[in-house]
Amino acid sequence: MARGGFGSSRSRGFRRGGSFRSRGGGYRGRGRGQSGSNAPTNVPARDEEGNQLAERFEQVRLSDEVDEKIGFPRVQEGPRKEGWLINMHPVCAVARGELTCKHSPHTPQQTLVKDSEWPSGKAGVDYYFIEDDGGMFKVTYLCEPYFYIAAKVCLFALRYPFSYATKPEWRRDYS
Amino acid sequence: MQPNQSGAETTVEEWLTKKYEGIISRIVRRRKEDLKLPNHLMGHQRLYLQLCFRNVSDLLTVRRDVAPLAIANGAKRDAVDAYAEVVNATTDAGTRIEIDGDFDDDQDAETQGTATGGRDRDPRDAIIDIREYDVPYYLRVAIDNEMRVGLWYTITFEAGQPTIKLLAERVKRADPVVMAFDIETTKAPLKFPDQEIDQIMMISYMIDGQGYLITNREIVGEDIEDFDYTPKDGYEGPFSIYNELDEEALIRRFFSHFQEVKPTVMATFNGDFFDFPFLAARAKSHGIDMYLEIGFQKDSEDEFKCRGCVHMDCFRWVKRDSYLPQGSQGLKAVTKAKLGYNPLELDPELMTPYVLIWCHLTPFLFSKPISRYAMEQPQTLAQYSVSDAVATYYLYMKYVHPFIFSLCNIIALCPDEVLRKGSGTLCETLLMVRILPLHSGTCH
Repeated sequence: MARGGFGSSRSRGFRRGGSFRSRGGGYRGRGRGQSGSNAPTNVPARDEEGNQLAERFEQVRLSDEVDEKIGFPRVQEGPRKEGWLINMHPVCAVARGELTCKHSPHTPQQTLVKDSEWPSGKAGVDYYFIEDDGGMFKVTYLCEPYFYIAAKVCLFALRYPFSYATKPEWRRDYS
Repeated sequence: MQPNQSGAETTVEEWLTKKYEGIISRIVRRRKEDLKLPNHLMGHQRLYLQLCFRNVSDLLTVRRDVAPLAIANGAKRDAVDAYAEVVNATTDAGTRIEIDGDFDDDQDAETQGTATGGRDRDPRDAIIDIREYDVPYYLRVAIDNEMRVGLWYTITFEAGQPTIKLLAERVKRADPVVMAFDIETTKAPLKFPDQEIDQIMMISYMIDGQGYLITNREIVGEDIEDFDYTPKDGYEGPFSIYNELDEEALIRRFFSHFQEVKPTVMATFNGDFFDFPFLAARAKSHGIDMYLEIGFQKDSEDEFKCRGCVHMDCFRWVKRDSYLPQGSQGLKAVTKAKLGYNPLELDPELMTPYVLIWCHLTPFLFSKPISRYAMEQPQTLAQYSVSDAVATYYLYMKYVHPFIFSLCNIIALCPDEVLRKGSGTLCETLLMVRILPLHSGTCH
């Protein structure tokens, strides 16, 4: 494949150190302050956030409208369909012209589907299909985003023993 | 009590549930191979907590707090911790029960343990690692659900939520509607076209082998008749012409034709940085919003993308994948090298305005730059204009399309990204696509 790829197309290849873990550093550097909607908060929808949320839902509505205009109406029910996947994007509500975006893996992705159970919206992906007869449609697939964490293993207890006083007798031998 | 418990998970889980109540949707325990263990080839599995969220903002909120903790604690881990990991990984279940029992088997012990634990140690110190936290969301979903662009799927619906299944037996690609387009603009002598003052003279485009040319009669001296431009056998270009009154009519005609034929692939040559920005700016100056009309808008990378329609800027392919030397990456050179014919060439300076009249007193009367060529030899200009669209179309169909859509079958990114990302990122993504499903459960 391309030798020139690294220099010419502004790639973010192994330059950052190869592993996806190291990209985390990249995210924190770039992500912060880029979009106010991501300010840390324990309350999902406060006033200011509420407004931004409304704006984001408005963006989703607008992009649905545009998708329909260019031939990809959203299908939610009906008979079984067969389709060739042509494109996929997180359901995206990007304030237009703003520097947060669906395409960069390093910037926060606002991915939302309005949901009655969850006021700040649920994440989903739009899949764009072509049918045999030339028909086109998109479907929205909801899926929970996630990541993993690991906790210390039990030998932890050997290093940081509980105080003798609170320990049951049978356990004392261990420390 | 979970049988696969192995350490401080319960403490951490309780702490997270309490602190991020309403943000974390659920926490699932999963055993996964830790590929960072020195002896990971043994296939020992480690217990991880999978934190699930309803949306990406929630995920980011928690990640912002947890990731620094995990990274800091991870860095503090010393030989004893490493030893603990290894022992934990290598002892079989039988021996470990004893140790596990230490914490959890006895209900009394646990109550006490948690009670003192709260005082003696911070659950935050027990988070020692964080994994797969920066996999882009749509890539994550694509990996977990085997979604690849360029493959066939069956879609069934149940209560509004689709179920999408891979149709492995269908391998022949569908035929998307491909549109290749190119614009011709006026320009001042020895300058690049300026979006503020210069105009679009012509838009030429091909849709599935049929060519169209829209002219701006304000600039072009006379109506153009339909013609054929076939530079070489196999590269036919029958062209239909729309002669439009002015630039606004030309842009409107183009957008309405786009909406009518609904192309799924848009091929350009350097459209990211010339054709689209220029078109968007000129449309805007006439009060037309290109995004609302055809769905294309500039993204954070300054590239023009649309959600449904794929934008294939063939120049990106030329730069990254064609192996042509730097000096031969223009459309003319590429046409010669890849399509094997000599395209029409026209000195761009011949297209410059013959007289650029800026009458300051009556700017509205004479503010239009006038191209001598367009006025005097519109037919030649038209031929030249369509030659670029024809070359772009056939270059795309012959080289770029099969290349990009084949890559899409194995790399779980959308075609726009597969075309534009560096080869390093593509390799990295390919590795993820191959590895993650082996080591993790699926999304649900």
